[in-house]
Amino acid sequence: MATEPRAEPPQAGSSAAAAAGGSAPQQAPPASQSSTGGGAGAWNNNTRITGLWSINEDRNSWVYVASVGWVKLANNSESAIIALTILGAHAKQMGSTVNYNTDDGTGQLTQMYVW
Amino acid sequence: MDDVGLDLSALRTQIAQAGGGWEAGQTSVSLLPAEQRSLRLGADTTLTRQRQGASATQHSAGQSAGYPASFDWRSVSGQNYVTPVRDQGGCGSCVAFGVAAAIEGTFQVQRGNPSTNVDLSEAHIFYCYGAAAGRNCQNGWWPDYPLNNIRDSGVVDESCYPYTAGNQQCNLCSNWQSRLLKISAWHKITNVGEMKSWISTRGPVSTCFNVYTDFFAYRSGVYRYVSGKLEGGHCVLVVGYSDTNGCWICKNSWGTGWGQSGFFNIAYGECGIDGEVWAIDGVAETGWLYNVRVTGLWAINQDNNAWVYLANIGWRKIAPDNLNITVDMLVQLASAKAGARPVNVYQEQGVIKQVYVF
Repeated sequence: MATEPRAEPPQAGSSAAAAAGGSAPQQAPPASQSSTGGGAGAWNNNTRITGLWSINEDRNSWVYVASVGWVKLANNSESAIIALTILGAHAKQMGSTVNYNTDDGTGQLTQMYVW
Repeated sequence: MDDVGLDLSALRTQIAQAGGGWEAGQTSVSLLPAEQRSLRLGADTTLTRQRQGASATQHSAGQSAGYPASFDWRSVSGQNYVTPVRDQGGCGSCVAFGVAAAIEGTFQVQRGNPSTNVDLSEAHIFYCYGAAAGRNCQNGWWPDYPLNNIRDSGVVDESCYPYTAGNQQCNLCSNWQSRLLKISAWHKITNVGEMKSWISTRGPVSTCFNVYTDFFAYRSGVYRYVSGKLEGGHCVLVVGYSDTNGCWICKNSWGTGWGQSGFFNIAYGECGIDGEVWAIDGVAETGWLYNVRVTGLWAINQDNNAWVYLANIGWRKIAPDNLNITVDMLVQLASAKAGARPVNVYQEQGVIKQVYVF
């Protein structure tokens, strides 16, 4: 069983969240965004990434979503988990607005917009 | 009768009795025999649900949404981003014209250049893609289908396959495969506030509506149905709107001898004009884009599928050739976003193949 992050970011109040396809993006930038969704699934919008975690295990990378907790990045594809990790790191560095989806039934983050 | 099937004098009286608002007169289309006029349409409404226009409540509800009260792509800072009025002639190919015009307009807006001379082949859309789907001058089509074709396979320029009215064999130029232009995606908008927001920021959109006999005699003003029978469905381009006049501003494909030099105003909610519209997300270009900004990132749990949002251009896919290529480019483009640095990108059919960050 893959290891999970245990630490909380400084001043984070919530506990860890439950862990666990040629598509194209559907959302428009926030200024012209017409809806908060972007397709089917469970969307969590206007969030911030406040923590990152990785370990020396294959495809095991997580982000800490403010007011939500740790969320595991989808690990079904080598390139996808790297891309999602890059986006998460960028969002944390920049304090960006993040909209993400956990629609695969496992609780894993499967899709992410970073603005 | 002043025109075949249209008593203009009676129509003018009826318009006045209905409260006025628009002027009827002889037009290049009102003069045609009825069977020829019907060929100026071509939206096959059997391919979709029944159309209904937006209600007045929907229009008033969107007034605080932040879009301007009036907008017209024919006059933005003194520039006209709308490509010239075309003429579909005696063929129910309006869908091809409505779709091509939306892509052309979006392309010019996307480029920030109202003088690109972009001119797409309606003949390719209708006589190649449409014919393959069993569509012809008599039964028309519906925008979803050609938009999917153009997204997946592209459309050539007008000079590669010039349009003439009448059912014909698909006849593309010899090097058509190197002249294809694709769109990155398209979507429908059904909320009027979102329509106005999209139009005023991203470009004109296609729409379809119900045409009644009196519409053939439209000369000016804000059209509202007054008299005549339902002639059929028709697709056009929405280039703007006016909350002051309560109307959409549209480009028709009946030449410049009809309406206001080919354009018309139609009241909000009239004849299903704003039940839904078709918006082009982006035009998939080939060539360099210089000094653009990365303002958004997107990734999904699929192999080598990452996109960046380029300001004033839209979503662009990063080359998916392999993991190394996709990740390298994504890192560089994310770096550009983080530093608010300009990038130069080379695209092939809208896919980013090369990146400079400075």
